[in-house]
Amino acid sequence: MFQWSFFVESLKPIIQCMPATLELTAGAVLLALALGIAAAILVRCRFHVVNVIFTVVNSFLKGIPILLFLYLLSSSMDGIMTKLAVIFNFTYNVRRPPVFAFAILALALSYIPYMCDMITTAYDTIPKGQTEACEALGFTKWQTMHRIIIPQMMVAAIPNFGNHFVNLLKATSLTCMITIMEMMGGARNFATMNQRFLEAYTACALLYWVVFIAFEKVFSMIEKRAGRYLSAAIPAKKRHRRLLMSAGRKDEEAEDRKVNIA
Amino acid sequence: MSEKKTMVSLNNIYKHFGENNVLNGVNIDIRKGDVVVILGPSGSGKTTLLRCINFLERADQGTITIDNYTVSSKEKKQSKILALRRKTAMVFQQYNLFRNRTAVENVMEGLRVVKKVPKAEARKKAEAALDKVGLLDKADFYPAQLSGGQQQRIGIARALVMEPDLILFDEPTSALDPELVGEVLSCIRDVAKTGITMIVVTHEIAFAKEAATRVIFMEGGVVVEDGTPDQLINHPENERTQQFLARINGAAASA
Ligand SMILES: Nc1ncnc2c1ncn2[C@@H]1O[C@H](COP(=O)(O)OP(=O)(O)OP(=O)(O)O)[C@@H](O)[C@H]1O
Ligand SMILES: [Mg+2]
Repeated sequence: MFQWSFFVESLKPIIQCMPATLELTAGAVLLALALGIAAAILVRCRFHVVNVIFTVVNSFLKGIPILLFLYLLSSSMDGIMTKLAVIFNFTYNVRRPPVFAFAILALALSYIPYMCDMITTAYDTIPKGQTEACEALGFTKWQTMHRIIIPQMMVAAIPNFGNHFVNLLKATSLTCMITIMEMMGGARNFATMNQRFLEAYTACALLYWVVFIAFEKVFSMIEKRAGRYLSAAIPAKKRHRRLLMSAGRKDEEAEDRKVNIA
Repeated sequence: MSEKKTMVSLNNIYKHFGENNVLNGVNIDIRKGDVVVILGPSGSGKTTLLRCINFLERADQGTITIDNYTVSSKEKKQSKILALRRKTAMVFQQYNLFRNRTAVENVMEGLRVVKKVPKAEARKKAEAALDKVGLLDKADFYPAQLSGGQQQRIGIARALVMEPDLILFDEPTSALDPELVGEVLSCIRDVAKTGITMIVVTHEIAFAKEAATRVIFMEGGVVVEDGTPDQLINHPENERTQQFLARINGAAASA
């Protein structure tokens, strides 16, 4: 029988694990984005060999389940850390392995190809004419990118970015398999201690959903605001200003001009 | 007229795409203040020629001189190419306004980025340029909120504000609805009167007759005939020019 008291009781320990989920997500998204940008540049690199190599690397990363990345990295963690400790000359405490950092790394690795695709797709949606208009004015390549192309790419990428973000957020639940206490881990912990699985997992599902909804809202708001310039709708504020200004002489001149043509 | 100095000089321009020899040795000298209209059938290389002038396309051979500054098609230094581009401005068939910038920001962009003009001053200049094309009231609108004709006039303001030595127009009205062509042509006519050197590729014969100081007929990637609007349009000597004009007039009559 489903007992509500356990359901309610389990909410608290799961909510306490929420920061861990958010930290994993934020860390992995940022790292994947940074590496994804680098990957996108390399995939679109002019040197054929480089872009072939990185296209293959991307496809490889995409083909591996996240859980496998987590197991691979956590099982080689001690080895890697001891080597790093020698190279960078620090003492590695085997009792306190950086599981959290490795979890972020594993999640990020598996999302690099998606971030990379997101960026190349965004680039491809920008009409060639935007670049040419910059070139015709005498912009350098960098000026063209950072003034005109990248801002438009960011807007074009928001919907995909939002999807990857919430998918990654859900994927953080896998990290409980390598002992990380995020929401899923918190729920499992409560469930085993109380032998109340259904209640704890239902509560966990509900809380994931709440977080999901919150981020969906945020991204759809960002999307609307950032993409305003692509819509033909004229904001009321501007319409007002236009009315004020057209009271002046400018529109009469425009009218004259039209008459002249006819 | 003859004492006016040469502003633009295209020297022996060749360009091919694959098997397709698009430009086959184009030579044109243009004096300061000339309004040159280039006519020619589709595929004759008019767009390619304009794009070779500002190195949007790199010619295979030849040199471009603008205001005594010469750049060869073989030039390796990007800075030289940028310097040449900064002497020109281009008005595109598809307007190509920056979608993420309002009208006034579109006009300011070149001033801010290329000429490093401070923001307030750039805005003032941009507003003056928008006023010239009759669109000051649309200053804060994004391109998507404007008609094609309005977008193109902003494209013209964006070119004008840079005070270039040469403005290139590539079929500035051919993407427009017929009822919007007039406003853009009259805008270009006003620009022509200011004495700025212009090259205009267009199929608007009436515009050529009235606004051009010189008309060039191109076909097969070479200049076929070159003269005053009256000579070339009313009394063409070359047979191919005659045929082209007859076709255009025929099309206009049947339309
Ligand atoms: N980037 C390109 N790659 C390959 N071929 C091209 C390219 N640009 C132009 N061409 C070819 O070059 C030829 C001349 O094209 P261009 O656009 O210069 O002609 P045009 O005189 O401007 O014609 P239109 O009046 O139709 O605009 C055409 O055959 C075209 O297909
Ligand atoms: Mg063309």
